[in-house]
Amino acid sequence: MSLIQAQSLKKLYRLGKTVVEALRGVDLSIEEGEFTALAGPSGSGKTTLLNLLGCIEVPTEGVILFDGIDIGRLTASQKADFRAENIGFVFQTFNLIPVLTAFENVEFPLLKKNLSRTQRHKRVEEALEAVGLAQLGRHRPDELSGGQRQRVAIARALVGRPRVILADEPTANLDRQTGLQILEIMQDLNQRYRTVFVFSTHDTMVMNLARRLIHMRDGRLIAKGPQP
Amino acid sequence: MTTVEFLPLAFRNIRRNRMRSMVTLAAIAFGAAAIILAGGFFQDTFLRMREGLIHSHLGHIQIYKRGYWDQGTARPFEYLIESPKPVVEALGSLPNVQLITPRFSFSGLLSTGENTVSVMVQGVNPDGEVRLRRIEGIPHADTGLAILEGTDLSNDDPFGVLLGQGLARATRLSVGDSVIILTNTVAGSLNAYDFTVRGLFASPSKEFDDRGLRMPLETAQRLLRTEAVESLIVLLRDTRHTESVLAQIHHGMAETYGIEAKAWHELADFYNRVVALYRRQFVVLIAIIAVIVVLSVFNTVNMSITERTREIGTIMALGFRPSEVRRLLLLEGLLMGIVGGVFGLLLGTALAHLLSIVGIPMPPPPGGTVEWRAAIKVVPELLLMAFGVATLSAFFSSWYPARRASGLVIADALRHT
Ligand SMILES: Nc1ncnc2c1ncn2[C@@H]1O[C@H](COP(=O)(O)OP(=O)(O)OP(=O)(O)O)[C@@H](O)[C@H]1O
Ligand SMILES: [Mg+2]
Repeated sequence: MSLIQAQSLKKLYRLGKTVVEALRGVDLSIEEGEFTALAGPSGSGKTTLLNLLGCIEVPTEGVILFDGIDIGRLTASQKADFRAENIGFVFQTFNLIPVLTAFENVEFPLLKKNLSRTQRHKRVEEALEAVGLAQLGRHRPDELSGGQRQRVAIARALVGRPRVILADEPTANLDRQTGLQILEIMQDLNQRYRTVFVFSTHDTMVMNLARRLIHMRDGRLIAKGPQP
Repeated sequence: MTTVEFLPLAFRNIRRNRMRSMVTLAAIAFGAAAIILAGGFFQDTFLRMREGLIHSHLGHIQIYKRGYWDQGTARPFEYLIESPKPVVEALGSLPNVQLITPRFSFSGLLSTGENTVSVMVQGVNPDGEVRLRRIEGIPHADTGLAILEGTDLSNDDPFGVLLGQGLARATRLSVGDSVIILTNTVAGSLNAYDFTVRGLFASPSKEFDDRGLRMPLETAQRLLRTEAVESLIVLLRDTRHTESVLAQIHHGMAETYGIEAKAWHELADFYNRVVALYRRQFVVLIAIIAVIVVLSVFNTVNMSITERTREIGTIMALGFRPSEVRRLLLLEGLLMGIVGGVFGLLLGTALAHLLSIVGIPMPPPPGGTVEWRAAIKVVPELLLMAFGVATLSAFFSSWYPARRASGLVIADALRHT
């Protein structure tokens, strides 16, 4: 059985009288250990699909099974707990909490878990180590470069040991060189921890680093790359 | 997830926009300080009025012959304490009793030769009254009944009397003038003596100020041809002992000596009404201050939450429940209230002290005749109330913004710029 199974996902947005069809029926399976890119022109529905998979938005139609669980049937609190347990997010704009240090940002999702302070700190150090930022824990986000911030964000996504990390255009705000470094870190984590990565991108060089490439257009999947 | 772990974040979020937080904290602090000042002013007014009445007329407890309060107004001379001595001794043995002084009040006619007015005469023990009217421990107040002109009563001058300043004005009498006072004796015949005006007094009671006259008790007794006294005024070491001493008098003594006792507050009808009125005004004031604090905190929290929409979306995406996000934001409001409240307490107490040292000049109170200086009396309940209003209104004004934020669709919040 696949880790994630999405069946005939549709998402409509109502803007006044006009209705935007962001997803027009998407079937998708994600397997354990995948490293997958979503590619497609602007407006093709990449972000929408990631949001639905990440359980931070509700499909208009369709079902998502995560490890056999229908996440559409969860209450808001159950969804939150589900995300804390299973999903990590990386955003195009990093979305670090500006008043917290890098260390505290990474620690923040762990506040939800029943961990002692020492356990938490150990995990944070591990995660920062994994993204190569062990030295910069005391810095505030505004004291870090874009690439460093995104690495902090990856550490934050990683620290809860989720099974899937969803990254919406993680490299779009970075120069190419830094973007490729970020991708390398993601690849490394994927291999080390078998964390599933699904990320969207416009950049052909970035998408070519994926093991599986999914093309989207007008709210549909148009081609699937090789299964891992 | 415990709320405590959100504390550092909540604190830093408040410090994030310093200017805005300062303005909000100032609003909360001023609100709390205003409650302390207004409440402390009322407290001080109550205290002065109360102590003024006690130390001029009422004492803490008044002792009469049993039945005086029901029947005495119609036939006062039938309800006299014929032998006060044993009663005084018994009262004197009670704890916390500081002074017992006898009085005899009756009505009479005062004639200046030109005109005649009816007056309320009080025969008093001059030494006892001197001790009764001394007020201690209240700034800018030292006497209940003030001697304005001339000198106080003296047993060496049995026919020297004191006039209320209102009475003196109405009769155009001044110190040194001669008057005749005419009254019914206890037995029912008429008697009159010549007196000299020895001094003028100002009383906290306008009625007594306008119609009152004081003479030595022994002179009054000679005028009325009696050995009895009408009442005994009991002064305690502190007003708070009133109830316990009263209970002891009611319990046993009243029966043994055939007397009845009244506490000052049973006789201070006007005072009680003023207190009730001020209390109500104070409640209205607190409500107004709470509304102002709520509006200002609401505005800040609402703005700061709107600015942080994407951040809040991120926090929820990381797996925090709506209820947890709500808790974080409420904690911010509460912290703001606590910090503002503490500043308010400091500001309020400091201003209260300053104003108390300087003293606030006040016109005579309703029913009174003397200009006075008010202070601000800060009592613990007032501090608690000010702090409570500050924290609670800050907390509750975060309620709606916190609810709204925690109800956002996460994906929408993340798209927010
Ligand atoms: N909240 C929303 N309300 C209305 N329309 C929306 C909303 N979110 C997305 N859409 C629309 O849905 C469609 C798909 O948007 P989506 O953001 O998923 O595309 P995308 O592939 O991520 O594009 P981009 O590469 O520009 O990020 C677009 O037409 C977009 O305008
Ligand atoms: Mg997008």
